Amino acid sequence: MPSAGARQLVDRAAGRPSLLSGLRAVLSHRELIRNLVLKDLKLKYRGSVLGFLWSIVNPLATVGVYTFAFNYVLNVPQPGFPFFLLVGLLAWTFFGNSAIMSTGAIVDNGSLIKAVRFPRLILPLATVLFNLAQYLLTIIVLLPLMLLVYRRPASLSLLLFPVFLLFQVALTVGVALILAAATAFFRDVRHFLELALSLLFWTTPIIYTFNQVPERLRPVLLWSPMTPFAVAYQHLFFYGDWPDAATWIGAAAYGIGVLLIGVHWFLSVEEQLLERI
Amino acid sequence: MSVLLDIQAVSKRFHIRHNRASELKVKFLGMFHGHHREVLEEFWALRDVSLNVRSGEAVGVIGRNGSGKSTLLRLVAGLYSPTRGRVLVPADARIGTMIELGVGFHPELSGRENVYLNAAVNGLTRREIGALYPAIVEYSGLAPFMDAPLKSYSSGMQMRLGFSVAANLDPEILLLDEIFAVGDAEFQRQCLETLAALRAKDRTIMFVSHVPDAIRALCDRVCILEHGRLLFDGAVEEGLAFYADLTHAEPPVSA
Repeated sequence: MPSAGARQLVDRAAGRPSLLSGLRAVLSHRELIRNLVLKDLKLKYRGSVLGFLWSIVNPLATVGVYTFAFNYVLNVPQPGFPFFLLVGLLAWTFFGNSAIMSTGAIVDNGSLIKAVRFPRLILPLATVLFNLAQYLLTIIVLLPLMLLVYRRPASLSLLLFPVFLLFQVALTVGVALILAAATAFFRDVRHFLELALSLLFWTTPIIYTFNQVPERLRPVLLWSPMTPFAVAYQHLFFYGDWPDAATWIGAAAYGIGVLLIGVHWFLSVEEQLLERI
Repeated sequence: MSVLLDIQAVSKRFHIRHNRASELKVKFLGMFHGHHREVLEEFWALRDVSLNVRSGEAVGVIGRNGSGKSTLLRLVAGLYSPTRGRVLVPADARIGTMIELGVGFHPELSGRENVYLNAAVNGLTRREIGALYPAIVEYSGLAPFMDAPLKSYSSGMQMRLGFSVAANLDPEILLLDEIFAVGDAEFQRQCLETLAALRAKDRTIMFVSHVPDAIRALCDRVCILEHGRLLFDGAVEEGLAFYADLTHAEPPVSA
């Protein structure tokens, strides 16, 4: 197409990246995000005999082991413990797996980053969405099953699930952005993360209830970013009632706060990523 | 014809890390002992390069290894930003890159899935890819293999598939990096034909190559880089002769 007259030329390096430019970039690359998520899903289940069934069997096996250990070996019986445990465990798995996978989102995609210009933000984001898809698939199968087995009516409070899930996705994307970029600068992040995740897991009320924790230790739990989410989901799914105000505030604060910090920092170092991998 | 690429006094500096700071250890120990500190060596890949490319032009960029050719191409592609100077490109143009073929290809996915992924990486929507898909498959000559996983392809077949996608994206500005260095004679011939067809459609091309014949066949202008500086910018034959003198080689003979 022969162009008539002078075209307007722009300097792509001009203008600082902002939250708005990040959002616009993500929206204009929906197709790439969709393809990256689909690729991961296909790769995960292709060639395995049980396929998606593994995503159901794995959490159930973990629940079985913990139930055996706590209910029978340590003898701390609690009614409906497997159901209670599963609710927190699935949400945690979404968070933890996203965090682990995100450390490779930049450094393991070197060939992509070196050859094509696109917002790098997309790579950790796709990682989180892939794990979100898995989380939703497992919960769609396991939640009705649990309600049925434990004969609990689905309560109206379940309608709040998307709201808390949205905050959790925000938190997880923020964490993934930070970890993905940080790994490009320091490869040690992966080792550090193993330690951090196990600390966070045990300071989140997943295996125990928040109320079992002695009063003076509770502040420690509140600093753990997944605590409000685990508590919220336990209320929505297991107890069938409404989470209290503190849980709301905690979930919203962690979700929005960590997302803002993650996006801001990621965009500020995005330019340097190519030279660091 | 209007200017499409305006490269204004561009310099690019890299840091060569002798003591990799990717390790937290280095940062930590560096706080106490100077000799543990990260050692950075500056390297200027490009120095004060200015260049205009007009709409419909095909510019060949030649130079020895490490002369800054690929850095220049990556700056125009927007992969790097310049340390000094500015690179101006049209706000609305699709810039296609053939810096590496088959970017994002995954061995476990089928040929078809890889085409969709690779095209999406290059910024196409699903509808656009769907419309181009038959042409891509036909061009590659790999129609019977599209449902087989890529790992069952030979490396030549993988390259052909990658090039088929790239060739059919039809960007307004095309940046090519030495794709002729790979592939057999048949593949190289197909590449040249495709590029000639793009030329006929008045696409703007920036082409990094070592092959004088490819430059002759495709370009109407040559730029020569040496140690990051632009030494020559002008007519093709004159430029190739200049480059031959520069490298003390025999003047290349046309086949």
